[in-house]
Amino acid sequence: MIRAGSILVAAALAVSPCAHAAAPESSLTDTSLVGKWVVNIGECSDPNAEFITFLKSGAVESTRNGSADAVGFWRLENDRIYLNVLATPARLHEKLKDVNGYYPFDITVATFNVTADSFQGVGILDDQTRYGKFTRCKP
Amino acid sequence: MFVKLAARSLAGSVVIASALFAGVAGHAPAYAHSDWAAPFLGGIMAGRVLTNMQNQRAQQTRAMQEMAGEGGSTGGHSRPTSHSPAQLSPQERLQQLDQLAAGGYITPQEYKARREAILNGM
Repeated sequence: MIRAGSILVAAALAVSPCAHAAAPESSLTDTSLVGKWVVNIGECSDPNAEFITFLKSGAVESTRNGSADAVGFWRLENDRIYLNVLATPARLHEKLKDVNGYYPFDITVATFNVTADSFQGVGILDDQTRYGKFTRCKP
Repeated sequence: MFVKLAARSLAGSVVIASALFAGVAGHAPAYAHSDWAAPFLGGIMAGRVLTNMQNQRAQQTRAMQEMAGEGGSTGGHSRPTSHSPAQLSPQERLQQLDQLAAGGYITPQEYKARREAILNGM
């Protein structure tokens, strides 16, 4: 994961729409990250949206349409969230509906544009990358 | 089988992706600001599994083609390419199809369709 290092950060900053903004960015902390976040265009009031919940215990849960996509552990280091999760492919994509079993995934999310109630991130799993917006849901 | 193979590599370490265009099934750009409606974590994981499955299928197909090529070779040189499906006899094509189905590389529907196509072509 470390080898992703500086290139990852540079890539994240390069694609950040506000990378040139003068305002200094905040950083996520173990405390501020804890809570429920809605992903991308979803709204907190929509139970079918994609949510990711970081628990104080270090556990993490990702849900879509009210169903768990992945569960596991999270760790925050140097503005990067390391997710070690377990998921069943059958829940991830229509084409995988016949695939049984649970499989581990190690995902890194490089965060940027952090505010008190939102942040953006680039999620990376091997050759897969995806850009996401996260908005905090009020408890 | 594919998934078992895929899962082995899924647990590997994260590498930097200069390729910012690997999406679900390896077709759609995954890194896109306009991709707000797509799932984030689910999309990444599904893309990884689907890509692995595609890679495994491609490798299996190449291996089978190489096997078919070696079986028909009479010289000491192995041919870089094997028989195309059109060059195989219907029996060989059916056997190849059976192997693909037995390995779980094609769905029962695909198997049935391909089998009918071979038989109709006799």
